[in-house]
Amino acid sequence: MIFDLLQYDFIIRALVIGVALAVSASLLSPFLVLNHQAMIADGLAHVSFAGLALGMLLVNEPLYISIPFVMLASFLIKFLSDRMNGDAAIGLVSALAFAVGLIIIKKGSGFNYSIESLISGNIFTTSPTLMILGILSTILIFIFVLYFYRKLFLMTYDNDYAKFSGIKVTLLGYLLSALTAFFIAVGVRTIGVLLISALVIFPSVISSQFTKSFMMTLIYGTVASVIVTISGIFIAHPLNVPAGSTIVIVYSIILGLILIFKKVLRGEKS
Amino acid sequence: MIQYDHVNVNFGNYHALIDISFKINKGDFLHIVGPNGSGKSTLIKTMVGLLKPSSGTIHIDLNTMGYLPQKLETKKQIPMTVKEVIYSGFKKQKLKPSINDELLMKSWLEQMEIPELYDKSMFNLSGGQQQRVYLIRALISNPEILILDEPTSALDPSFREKFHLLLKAMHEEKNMTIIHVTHDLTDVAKDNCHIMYIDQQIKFFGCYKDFNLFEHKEHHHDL
Repeated sequence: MIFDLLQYDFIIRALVIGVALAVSASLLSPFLVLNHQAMIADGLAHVSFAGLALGMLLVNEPLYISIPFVMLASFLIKFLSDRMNGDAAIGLVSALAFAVGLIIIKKGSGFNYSIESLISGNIFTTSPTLMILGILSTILIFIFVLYFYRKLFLMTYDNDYAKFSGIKVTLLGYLLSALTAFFIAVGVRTIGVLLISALVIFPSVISSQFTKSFMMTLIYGTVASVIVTISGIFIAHPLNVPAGSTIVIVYSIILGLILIFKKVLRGEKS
Repeated sequence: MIQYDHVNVNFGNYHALIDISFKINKGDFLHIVGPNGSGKSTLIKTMVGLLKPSSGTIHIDLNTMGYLPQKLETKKQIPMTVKEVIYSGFKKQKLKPSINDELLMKSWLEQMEIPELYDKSMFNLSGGQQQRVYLIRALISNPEILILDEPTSALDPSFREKFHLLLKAMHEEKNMTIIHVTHDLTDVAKDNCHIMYIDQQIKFFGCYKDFNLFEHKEHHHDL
């Protein structure tokens, strides 16, 4: 049955963008989740809702507006985070953006997109532009993480020591924000506004159940992310349900099983 | 190699450090003492570049510094191994540590009497063991100067004596400059050492012998 599905172009495109997003998300995951920044993905997803609404009103390809829009918002969040509580900064910027987005949709003349399609996304209607942008985000994030891995690791666990070691923590922090914004803006089109942050959060949470090493957390997270995304797509299509939702549910079941299994194992030991 | 000229640090209206001027030469061993909240850690933070002075100038002429912070990052449940933490102290780091780097890390762990912890999770270590790992991180790049902010606070008493002997050896054999913040001078090496007594301002700066006289005088004032 799987091979039958592979005949269809839209399935192939869904798999390509799915794997690209899965790899991007899992590479960003430990540096955000383990640094108490998991919610930045959620906040930026809300921002991209406004970015897309604005883009749909102004141009043919809304991503050309929404990507720079979300990046600017990520810089604003970063800027505010240095001056107030990080959670508060994310909450402020995302609420403002969402509010603006809703007004644009209400007042924008000739707005013919459904809000539901924005909120849940659709991986099976991936356009070639979206696919290229998705692959581009993966390549950029891959190079960034590979090149700065040791610096990013030190920043994640001890920001002061990173600063002391001469690492340009502010610059790297802004770069990490910008790439996260790029990934979110692209990902929202396929996975949806409300679910895209799960793609960032799950990989590290799941892989850190298995390993004590930071690098292994990154690697296992990427493997898990790719497997879950591919299976999510294959499960979602025949059932005619959104792929984003299916991926999140598969992740949740796996995490639940791991936690139960660990508890049972610990119970046997004691 | 380190020179402070009229350095002030203010937090709003609060003067944490007032008119700090002193000089540290290569090979000095300096203990910084003072009551709680006297600005010891603030002074260290200006030295390692984590805090900019409100006024005054700091000249630091050094290539490599080792630093053991007072507050250790133990709050986050980050999966990371002892090896990963120590490697983050290297000046040049690669994606995969070289065999020589691995041997160097292992030999330091042996010197700190915790060789079995190499691949262990930082999260499962005791406070004292973590402290030793962070000390190795500070020393692994063979720094010209070692700055320690109350290092013994978390160390187990049995290792404390060994730790002070280690500092003394590094000072004498490698001519390493050491700056050591402490609230307890009992165990530390004192011969040929400088003492700075700080309470927002520098109240005393000189050799240990003169510091004894200074302390006596202070006590008389108190009485």
